[in-house]
Amino acid sequence: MALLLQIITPERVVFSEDGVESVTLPGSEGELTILPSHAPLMTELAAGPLVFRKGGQEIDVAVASGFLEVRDDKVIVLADMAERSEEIDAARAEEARDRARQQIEGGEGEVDLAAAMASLMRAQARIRVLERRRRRPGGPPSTQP
Amino acid sequence: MATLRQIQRRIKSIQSTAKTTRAMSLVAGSKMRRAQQMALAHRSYADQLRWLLADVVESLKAAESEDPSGEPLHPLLDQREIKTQGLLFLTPDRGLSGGLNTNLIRAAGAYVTNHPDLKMISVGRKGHDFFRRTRTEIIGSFSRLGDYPSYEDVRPISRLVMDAYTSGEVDSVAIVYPRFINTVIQRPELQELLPATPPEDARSAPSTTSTSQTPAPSSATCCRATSRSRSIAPCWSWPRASSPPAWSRCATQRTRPRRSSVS
Repeated sequence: MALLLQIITPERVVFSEDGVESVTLPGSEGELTILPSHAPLMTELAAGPLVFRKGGQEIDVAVASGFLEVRDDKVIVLADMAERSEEIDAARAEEARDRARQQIEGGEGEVDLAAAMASLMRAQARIRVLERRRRRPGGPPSTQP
Repeated sequence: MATLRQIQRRIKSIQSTAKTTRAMSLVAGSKMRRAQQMALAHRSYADQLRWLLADVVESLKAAESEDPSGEPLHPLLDQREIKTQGLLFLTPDRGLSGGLNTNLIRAAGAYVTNHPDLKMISVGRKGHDFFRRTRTEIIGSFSRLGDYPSYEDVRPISRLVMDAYTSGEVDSVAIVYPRFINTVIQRPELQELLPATPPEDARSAPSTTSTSQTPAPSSATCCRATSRSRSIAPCWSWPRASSPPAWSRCATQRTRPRRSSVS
């Protein structure tokens, strides 16, 4: 028994993997883990790290706001943003986080605030994924020097 | 009588023009490839979202029938009596693109003439310019999205569409857009967006196949898509009485031999 995991953004199909053993991801109501034979489920996603296990290896992905559908051992993640940990640029993520924080503290119009919050969440998701990756023993080699 | 010198000059001039146009065609080719990739990459997300929506609507319908209040569970599922139609119309900003604009405008025009009380939201200058001249009411207009619009760029459009629907300004929303088949065929397609209804073909097609990285669509897949969308009545509300637009005549002709070989 294994899961089929698909992570899709409006821009591309980030992952389409068979034989996945478990998927842990940030739901809007809290973190959840999907194992094979999970009951049908549909939920909103929050921004944060998604981790899936395949062949004993854990793979980290940063996702931001979207939907999750689980049905017949198919896990479909439709996210506004999804990046593999090795694609994330730490410096840019931190820069984006700081910029978003400044905007929020600057207190501009309502629409700007929502957009700034969203970009802050995205940046934080990226940074958290990088931190997890750095901490993981025996994980894939870090790209950091 | 041209002298030797004149002929030589002319040869040179043509050679240099050939160099320039060759460079231009290389640039255009790479831009085209990139745009093509983007058009196909969006598709799996859009398809997947459609299946998801079908699931949501299905389960909500069940919940709604148990709810005695009769209130819609979500503003975008609210089915009202349709007085004002909304039409989201996607066109390029510029021309010189073969029959692309003509075909799109003809498709949208057929819809507009059939729905006298219609409000349009246009994306792209060509559609806006045409329907401004016909005095169609345009409640929103977007242009200059560039060659590679991102997801963030289109958010304001979806916001406007949803606001118009929830505020009751329009009672339904359809979209007319060019569906990319290959570099010479972009078929105008009409789809009902709001109120959100499950696509009738939603469960019949396995959702896994639709998301596998889409290769360049062959003519065979194009035929399948055609025959499938034909079978969904609400997606194709072309006037039956009047003759179909020319593009659909061509499409039928093209697909007919294949279809008969399938059945």
